[in-house]
Amino acid sequence: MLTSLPHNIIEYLINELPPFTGVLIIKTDDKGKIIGFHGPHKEYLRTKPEIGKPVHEYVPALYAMIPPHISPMILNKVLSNSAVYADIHLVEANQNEYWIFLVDQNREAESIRGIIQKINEDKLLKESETKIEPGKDCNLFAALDYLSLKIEEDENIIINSNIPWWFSMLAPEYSENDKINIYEVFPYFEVFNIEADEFWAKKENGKIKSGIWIETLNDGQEIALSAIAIYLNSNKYIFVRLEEEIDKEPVVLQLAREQKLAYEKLEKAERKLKTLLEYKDKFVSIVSHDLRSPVAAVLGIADMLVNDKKELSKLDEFYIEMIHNIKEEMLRLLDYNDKLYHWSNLELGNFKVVKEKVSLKKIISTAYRTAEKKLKSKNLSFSTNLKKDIEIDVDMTLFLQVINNLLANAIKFTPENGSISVNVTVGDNLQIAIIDSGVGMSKRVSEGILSGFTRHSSLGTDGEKGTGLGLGIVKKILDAHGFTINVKSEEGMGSEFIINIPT
Amino acid sequence: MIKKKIVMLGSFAVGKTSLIQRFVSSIFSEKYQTTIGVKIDQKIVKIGSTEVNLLIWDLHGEDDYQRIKPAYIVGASGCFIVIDGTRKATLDIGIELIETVKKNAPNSAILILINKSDLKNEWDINEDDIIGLSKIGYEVIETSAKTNEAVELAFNKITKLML
Repeated sequence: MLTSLPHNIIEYLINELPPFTGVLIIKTDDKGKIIGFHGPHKEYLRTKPEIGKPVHEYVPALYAMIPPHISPMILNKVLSNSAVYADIHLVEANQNEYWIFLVDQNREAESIRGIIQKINEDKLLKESETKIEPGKDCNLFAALDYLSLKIEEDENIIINSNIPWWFSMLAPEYSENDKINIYEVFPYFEVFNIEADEFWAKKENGKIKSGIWIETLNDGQEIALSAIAIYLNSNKYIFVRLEEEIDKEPVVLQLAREQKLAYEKLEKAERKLKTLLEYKDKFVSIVSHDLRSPVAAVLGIADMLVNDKKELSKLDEFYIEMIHNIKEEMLRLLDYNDKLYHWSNLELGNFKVVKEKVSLKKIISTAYRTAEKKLKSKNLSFSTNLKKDIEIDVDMTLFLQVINNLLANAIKFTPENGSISVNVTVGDNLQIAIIDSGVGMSKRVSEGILSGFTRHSSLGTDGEKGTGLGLGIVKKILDAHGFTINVKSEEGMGSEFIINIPT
Repeated sequence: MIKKKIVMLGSFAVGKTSLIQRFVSSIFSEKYQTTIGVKIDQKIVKIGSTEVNLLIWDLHGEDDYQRIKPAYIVGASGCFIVIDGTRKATLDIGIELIETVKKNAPNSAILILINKSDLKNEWDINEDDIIGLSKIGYEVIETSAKTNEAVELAFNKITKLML
């Protein structure tokens, strides 16, 4: 098909379209003489092809290949006349014209090079049967940087014709045919020799490989070596070779161990942090517990003063107001302290949820009674849609605190004459929603509001200061029950706290 | 000259290579470089009038990725079990390795080194652990390859035990 395509189309295909990009196309006659070519010849060939010259001068693998016996003929992963491995496709266009496609296969060739290397090494060892003799040439092993030793009656003789470069730098005092004490040069052989002796004692042709060991050359360079013990036709050999692949292994191992170390450090830091948090909670628990008595005592005195009309009549208005302020502030402090104590005990897990069947109506009416005074002081309306009573499985004391806290929160953020309702919905879950017509909150505030210590705690509509702990306690108690809570709110549009109880 | 084989054993990253480098070459590097295979260093130590050539086998650390070949321990006259004071898990591995030494080099002297004493405020290994090791009959030395604390002492001590 390609032959019928205009030249500029072929050029576009080769240069621009992915399957063809980088392909070198050469056209020859039936004698293999180049008629034309197109593509990145520099990537495949050392010199630019010349028209009329035989193609095998540029790609030796194609010598005597044209005309091919079959068409198409594919030669896989051929090292072309440069450093590129290419698949060569040879296709007959007509009796006088042949198309050759060179397709770069370098990446794949590199990935299998290691495997091929191993196979070839094994082949070499098999071929060595007749080649290895003390002092005789054995260039193949020299080329592979092997130090080849023949073991004879406890004497180790170097049999390489060429001492590998690394051995000259490790033990320069030795040359070919020298007898060496292998344990002196390679103390590692004290170990490998035990395995090798056992293997040689079997007197079966074959080989075993040692582990890897590190030697330091006379220039301080460290190299990794391994050895192969061979038994071949009653002869014992040892080949010591340079482990060039070793560089890749430590990278993986190093990373794995560094990761493990980092993980261990993280675990340690987490343990430390947990201990510190526990200390913090214990500290808060002890301090808030011990603070309760003196705070209550001061509050008692303030209360006594406020109610002592005879004594109050002796004071001017400023001092009377001060005494009232002391009482209010001490009440707030006591409330905060109680919440802190409760919170720290929840954090420490110093509580147990004892569930029982409880009337939801009873819980709501009890909570209403607790909040009644505050509701009236702000003239807030209160309603509930719960007509028919429902029994829920909760810890009465803890769950009542949830409703109390949510109602207190709603009252705090609802301006005078507003409304608060508790709506109950029975569906897949039982939902109890505490809805207020208050000031609402931004998304940023509502997202962190249940965490306990919110940074965005704001003043109530009467300037009440908040701790943020109340809602944190709600979340803790609901979590312990296995219930969830959601918040829906918009600034200026009120808030809705919805408790979800699985049914 | 007398030759003695010493093997450094322990979990990975406890500082085996660093201790050897400190003792043999007086150098220390903070960078962790995992050991692949085996490296054997030599150093001559003089105990009284006796010179001893120590062949110090630095084995790769024991963990899930690399297991120590028992054959490496055969023929050892002395073994250091190196523990990282900041990592409790390395103590358990160290204790396991004592058993490996007992099996493969029953006559070998054993010294336990709790390394990284320069980080003592971060140690997970406490006095009770050290007393526990002493109780089962092993001498424990606290070392630091970084500050060179007790490194020379440890090698001299094991050499004396081997003679």
